[in-house]
Amino acid sequence: MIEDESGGKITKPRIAIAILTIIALMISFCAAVLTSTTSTEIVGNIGDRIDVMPPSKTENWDLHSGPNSIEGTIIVTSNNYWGVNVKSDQEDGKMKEYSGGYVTGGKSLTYPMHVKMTDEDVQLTDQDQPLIVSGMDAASNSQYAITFSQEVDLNSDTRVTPPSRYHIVVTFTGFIQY
Amino acid sequence: MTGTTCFKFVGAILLASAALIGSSFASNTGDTVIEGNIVQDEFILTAPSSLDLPAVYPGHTSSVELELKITSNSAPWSVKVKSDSQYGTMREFEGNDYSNPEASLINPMHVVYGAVNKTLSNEEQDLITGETGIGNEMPYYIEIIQNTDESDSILPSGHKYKIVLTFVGGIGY
Repeated sequence: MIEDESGGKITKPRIAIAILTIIALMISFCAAVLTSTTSTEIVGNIGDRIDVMPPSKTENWDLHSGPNSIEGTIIVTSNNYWGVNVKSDQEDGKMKEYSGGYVTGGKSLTYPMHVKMTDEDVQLTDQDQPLIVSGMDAASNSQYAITFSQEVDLNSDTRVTPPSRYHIVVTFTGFIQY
Repeated sequence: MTGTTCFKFVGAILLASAALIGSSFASNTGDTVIEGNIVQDEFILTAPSSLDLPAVYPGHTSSVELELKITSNSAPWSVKVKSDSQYGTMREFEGNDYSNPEASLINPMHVVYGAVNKTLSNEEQDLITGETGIGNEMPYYIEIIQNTDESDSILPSGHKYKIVLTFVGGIGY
């Protein structure tokens, strides 16, 4: 038994109750802190995406005098309006003699290569040029024919000695067209 | 950290993540390699399918120019000529065939290219040779010469004198 300030006596059970009450109050208080409520707004969107799979490599193309052409297929997947640019690794867009690498001082065909998809026939350079003039609708693994054209003039173009061959790299870049 | 502050921090992270998902993959690039070579030993020869010789009086000479187009990516090459007439003479023709019996001009036809002048027969004869490659249908102009004789017959209506020339060429031919 404990005496209070006025001399009154505080029994142990009362002390326990007080302690328990205090503890309960503390628990309530802590609970109030741990369960504080707020809200956060989350926003987002689907990003523009385009995937381009260019035509397969062409080897052993037999070039005849005059016009020559071969076809390939480009596959496009896009979730928005899209277009395609094309360029080559040659400033003048001409196939050049190649044997493991471009031959220094090697031969070059007289005329640049042309590439055509739907709208435009593009004479290749090393700068991007549009193959698609107007925006194409969203596509899912859609296939499009690509035509590569090469003029040969036997007055100026000559056969290179194998294993050398004429070579060019054509780069296709898909883009979202807003 | 209070509960409110903690939630605000998490919310900021979620917003940032949402913004990251919203980034675009707006371009994509792929390469196509193209390789080839000019074909070996290509020779192309073309000639007109038909020509008309101007009509002349018997005893006079008629001639016409014939254009050959030649493409050759190697050398040497040559072109030869022959006719479907054993003696190189034009023969009477009606409808779809030579007449039987047929009239025939007396003098054989001549084919001339530069200094080369060949009297036609049904055997191949050298006409043009080349020591270098030539490209893209180079034109060669041949002169066809037919001397007529005063005794050559004038054919009835619907008949004509005809001869077929065959040009054969190739690399190393």
